[in-house]
Amino acid sequence: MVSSSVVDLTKVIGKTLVATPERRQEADADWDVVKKVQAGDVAAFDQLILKYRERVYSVIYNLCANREDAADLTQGAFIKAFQSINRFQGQSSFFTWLYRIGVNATLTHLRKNRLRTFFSFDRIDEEDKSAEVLEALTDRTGADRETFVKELQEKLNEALQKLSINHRMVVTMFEIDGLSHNEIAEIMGCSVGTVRSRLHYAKQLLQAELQSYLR
Amino acid sequence: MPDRPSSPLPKVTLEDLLRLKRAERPPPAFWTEFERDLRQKQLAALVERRSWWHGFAAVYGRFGRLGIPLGATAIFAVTFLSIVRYSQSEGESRLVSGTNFPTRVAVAQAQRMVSAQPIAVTDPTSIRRLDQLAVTDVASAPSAAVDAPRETAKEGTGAISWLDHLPEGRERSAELTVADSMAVNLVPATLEPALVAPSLGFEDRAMPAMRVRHSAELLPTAAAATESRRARLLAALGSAVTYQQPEPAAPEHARRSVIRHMDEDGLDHLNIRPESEGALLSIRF
Repeated sequence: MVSSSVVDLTKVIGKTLVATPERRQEADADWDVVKKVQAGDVAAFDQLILKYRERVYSVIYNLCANREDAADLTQGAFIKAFQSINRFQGQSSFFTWLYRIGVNATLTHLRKNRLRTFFSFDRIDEEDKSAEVLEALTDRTGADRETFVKELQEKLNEALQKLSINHRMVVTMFEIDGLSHNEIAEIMGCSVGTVRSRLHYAKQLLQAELQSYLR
Repeated sequence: MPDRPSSPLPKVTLEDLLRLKRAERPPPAFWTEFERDLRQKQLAALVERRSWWHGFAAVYGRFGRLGIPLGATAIFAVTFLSIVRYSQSEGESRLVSGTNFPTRVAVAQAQRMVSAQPIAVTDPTSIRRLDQLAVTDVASAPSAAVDAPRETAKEGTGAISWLDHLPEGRERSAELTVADSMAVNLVPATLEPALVAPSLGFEDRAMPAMRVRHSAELLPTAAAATESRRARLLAALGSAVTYQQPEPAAPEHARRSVIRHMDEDGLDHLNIRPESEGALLSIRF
């Protein structure tokens, strides 16, 4: 009786950490799917894969800057989540839990292959805002667009790789994946203040590294 | 050459650059391959037999958050037990060295069993510290053949001056009989030879008199031999002593015999080594 109320309370707290109502709805919907999978409906897990594969891949890709490694690690994260789905008790939202699995796998991979770094990039999807930015930069430099975009990608990734893993994670999740401070804090297991300070420091470093592109 | 229109260029911020990273996306074909690979891995994971230690890993993971407190508690407990055990063993070793077996005087047990009387007390006046030495015929003790009164040991030899150094409250006595000391020495030596070795150290030589009575009080507890064992030991002792056995009625003879074996330089390290069933026993004064 007491334990069940404690579990409920932790679920509530975990879900209140997910600030926005959209996220809360999303978390509730995920929890329903997870319960199905836990009940034995293995095919229901495909819904979760389809829903989160791009976001998980994006985080991992921006952390390790290698698309092949990112694909392997993303698959590994889903497999691990599938194997451990019975241990998920809804204390946090499913996507936070899944992110944590993916991020931990990536950290392990990066530590193992610290001396081996190969970059392989996905193409920049030039639409909306990114196209405007690229337009502005190519007009200013007068360089060939294709060449310039490749060079910019390399510079961006080099600058990110110069950050420590923790700082890179914060920047990636906040600026690239659009997670909130609370979510990042929950995924990384640190306080929101730590997330903010890491973000501030990482941005300062990136600003210094990419000064030539910032006008 | 016409000038280019000087339109203000849009400002590019760090967030804009990072947004470009967000725009990096794999082509649709990538996801097809991704899904195929994932399906294969998922099936392999379903089929794969998990190792036996995965159960332990799961249990450990469940109690993982208690790992640090449990570890700290375990370290504290081990440290505490080590300290307690160390202090106990130190106390025991002090007791062992304090009982000082080689120079032990068996007061209660030995006298009760042997009913021996000291028959000779020597007074080597040429000896610096040891003014008087009592030697008892241990071999004849069980048969109560030794009848010489203790006064015999005292008379003619003067006071035992080294016993003057005994602490106050302790009975000054010249009853340091070899019968007593032999009996008591032999009992612990037979019981636990390892206890004898560490006690043959500096303390014995430095403060022999200080421990005479004290050790006599501790000995009954240290040497917990049964009655039959005592009898056996004493019987063995009777046949084992092969050194100076003064005549009961001739204390002077015994005194001379002892003096002959004692020169001035060797007094402090005098060892008398009777053989008892192959075992050596040291008596140090």
